[in-house]
Amino acid sequence: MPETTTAHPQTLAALAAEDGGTAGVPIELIGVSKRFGSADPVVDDLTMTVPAGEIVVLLGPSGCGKTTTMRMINRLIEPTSGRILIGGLDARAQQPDQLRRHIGYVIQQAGLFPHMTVAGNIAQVPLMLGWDRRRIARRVDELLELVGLDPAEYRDRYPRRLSGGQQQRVGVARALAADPPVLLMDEPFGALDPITRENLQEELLRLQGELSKTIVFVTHDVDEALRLGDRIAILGAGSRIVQFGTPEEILAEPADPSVEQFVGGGSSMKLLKLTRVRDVALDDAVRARPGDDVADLRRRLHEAARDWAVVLDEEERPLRWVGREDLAGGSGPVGVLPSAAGSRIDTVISGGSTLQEAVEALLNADREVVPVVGRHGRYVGAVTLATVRQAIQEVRQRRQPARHVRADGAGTAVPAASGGVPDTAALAGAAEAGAADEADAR
Amino acid sequence: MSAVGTPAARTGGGPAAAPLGAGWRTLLTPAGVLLAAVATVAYTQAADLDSTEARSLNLPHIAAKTWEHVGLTAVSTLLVLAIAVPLGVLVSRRWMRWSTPAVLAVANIGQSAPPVGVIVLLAIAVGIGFWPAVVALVLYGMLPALRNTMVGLREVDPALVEAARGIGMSAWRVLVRVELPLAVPVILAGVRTTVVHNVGVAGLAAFINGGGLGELVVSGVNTSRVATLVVGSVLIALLALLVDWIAGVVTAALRPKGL
Repeated sequence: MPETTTAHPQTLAALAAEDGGTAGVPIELIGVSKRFGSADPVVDDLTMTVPAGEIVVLLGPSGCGKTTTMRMINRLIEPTSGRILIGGLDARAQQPDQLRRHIGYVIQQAGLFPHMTVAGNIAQVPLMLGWDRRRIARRVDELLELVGLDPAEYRDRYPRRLSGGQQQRVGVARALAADPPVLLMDEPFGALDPITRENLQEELLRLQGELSKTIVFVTHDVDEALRLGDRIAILGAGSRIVQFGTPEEILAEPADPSVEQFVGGGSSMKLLKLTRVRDVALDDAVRARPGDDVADLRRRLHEAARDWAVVLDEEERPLRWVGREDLAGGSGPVGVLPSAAGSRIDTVISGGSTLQEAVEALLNADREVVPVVGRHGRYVGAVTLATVRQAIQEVRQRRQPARHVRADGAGTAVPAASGGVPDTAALAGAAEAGAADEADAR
Repeated sequence: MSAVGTPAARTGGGPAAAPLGAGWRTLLTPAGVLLAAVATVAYTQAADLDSTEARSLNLPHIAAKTWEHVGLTAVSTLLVLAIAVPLGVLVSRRWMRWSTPAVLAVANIGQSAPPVGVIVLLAIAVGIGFWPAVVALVLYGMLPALRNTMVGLREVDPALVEAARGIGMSAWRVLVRVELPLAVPVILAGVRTTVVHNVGVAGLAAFINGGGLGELVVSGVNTSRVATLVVGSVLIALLALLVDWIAGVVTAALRPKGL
C-alpha cells in the first residue's frame, strides 16, 4: 500500500486534521490474533489490507470472529498479537478514546442515546473534540442533509420518535460527525425490514460515492455483501480468510466448495444482479428514421442479416420496432406504414439497470429485444438474451487466470491478487458499445 | 430498551410505582393531605383535653415535632443518596461486579432487621439522640436506593454503552452522559421508596430520644392517652403521603426527556 505520507502525523487525529475533507486511508491487519482465555483463538493470525476508499465486507457465519476482527480496529477489543495500521499509523500507539473519535462506528439498531435529541446524538464526537457550539450546529444540519433527513424537522426529535430506518440514518450521521477517514459498520442494517434495508444500502453507496471513506462492513447477509462490497472477505472459523475478492470474482470463481455453498446456488442469477447494462457488450439494431424508405430499409436489414430495425425520432429516441414482415410489400417512408406495422416501444432500460432488470424487461416485452437508452432517452444499443448470456460467460472466463494468482494464500489476502482492478472497470473493457455517455460511475 | 418500569426495578416495593395524575388531579393528593392535617390539628384545639394531653397536643409542640420529623427524614435521605448512589455505581463497574452479592447481602441485613431493634442496638452502641437515629434511618433506608441504583445501571442497554465507547467516550463520560441519565428513573424510584420508609421509621426515633412525631405516639402509649397516640400516628401517615407525592413530582421532573 502507498503509505509514504506517514512522516509527520503520529495519530489518526492529527492525520484527519491535516487532511481537511477526510477521504479514506488504508487499514492493514498484520498477523492479528485474538484469544479469550485459553480457548481456541477467535481470530487466528489474520493478515489483510483494506484499500483506502473502498468498502470491504467481512462476510461469514455467526461466531466466525468477524465482529471481533472489526472491533480490534478501533480497539474496543485489544488484539492478543499482531499489528493494526490505520493510514500507516499503529493503532496501539494511540490513546484508544482519541483514536475512536476518528473512526466512525455504526452498530445494529443504531445505538442512539434515547435521552438525547437527534442533534445531541450527532454532536457527541464534535463535543468531545471541543468544537464550538455554532460549528457543531452547522455540522449537525449538514450531516442530516447528507443522510436525507430534513434538519428542521428531525433535529430536535428524540430517537424514540424515529422509524428504524431513520434511526440508522442518524447513526450513520453520528459516525460521520468528525469526518473520520474510516468507518466501521457492524451489521448496521440487520434489524431493518427488507425494503428499508435496500434503501439504506443504496443510500450508503451514494454516500460513499461522495465521501470515499474506507469502510469495513460486517454482515452475514450474502446479498448485502455482494451489493455493497468493493471487495468481500469471506471468513471461516478463526477469521481465516477463505476468499478475498470482488463480488464478481467470488460469484464466478468461488475459492472452494464451502464458499460456493455459502454464497448459495444461483450464482448466475446473482451475477445478473451485480452486472450493469453499461458494462456489457450491447447488441445493436439496424437504425431507421420515420423518413427512411421502406425498400431501402429492407435492403439494409438484409445486408445486416437482421430481422428487425429500431425506428428513432429526431432526438434519437426509440419509437418502435419494425420487422421484415412489417416491411414486406410496403413502400414509401417507414413513418407512413400502417400503425399496426411494427410494435411500439414501451419498455426501455438504461445503462444503470442491472442485467436482472434487463432480463425481466425481456421476459415482459413482446420482442426478444429491449432497447437501451442513454442521456435524454437517446438510443445506444439493445439487449437480447444472447447479450446477457454472453456477458455472464465473459465474466466467468475473465476470472479463470485469477485462480492461479490467488492460489498462494490460506491466511493472507492482498488485493493485488486480483490485479487491483476496481470491480466495474474489470467488466467495462468490453462495454464501450455506445454506452460511453453513461459512464458516470456510481 | 428503556430501563424504566420493569418489575425488577421496583424491588423496593410499594409507593414507588404510583403514577402521577394529569393536570389538576396531581394536586388532589396534597390537597387531601393538607385538609386531613388541618382537620386533625383543629380537633386537638377544639377537643376537651386533660392536662397531660394538652402538654402534647398544643400547636407549638406539634409544629416542633413535625419539623424534627421532617429534619430526621431529610437528613437521613440525603445521607442515603450520598452513600448509596456512588456505592451502587462502584459496585456495578465491571471490575467490581463480583462484589454485588456481598454488598446486597449487607444492605439486606440492614433492612430485614426490625427497625426498633436496629435503633435500640444503635442507642446502646453509640448513645441516644438525633444522630444515632439518623444513622439507624440511613442503615434502614440504604437498601432500596442501593439496589435500584445497581439495577438501574445494569439495565442500561449494553449496546448503548458499547456505542458510547465506540465513538470515543471515556469510561467516566459514558457513566455521566449515558449510564446515569438512563438509570435516573429507576434510581429515583428507589430513593422515593427510601424516603417514604424513612418517614415511617423516623417515628421510632422517639425511643432513643431522637425527636419527631414519634414522641406523640410514645407518650400517648405511656400515658394511655388515645387521642395523643392517634394524632401522632395520623400526622406521620399524612406526612408520608405528602413526601411520596413530592418525590413523585421530583421523579417526573428529573426523568430524562425522550425515554
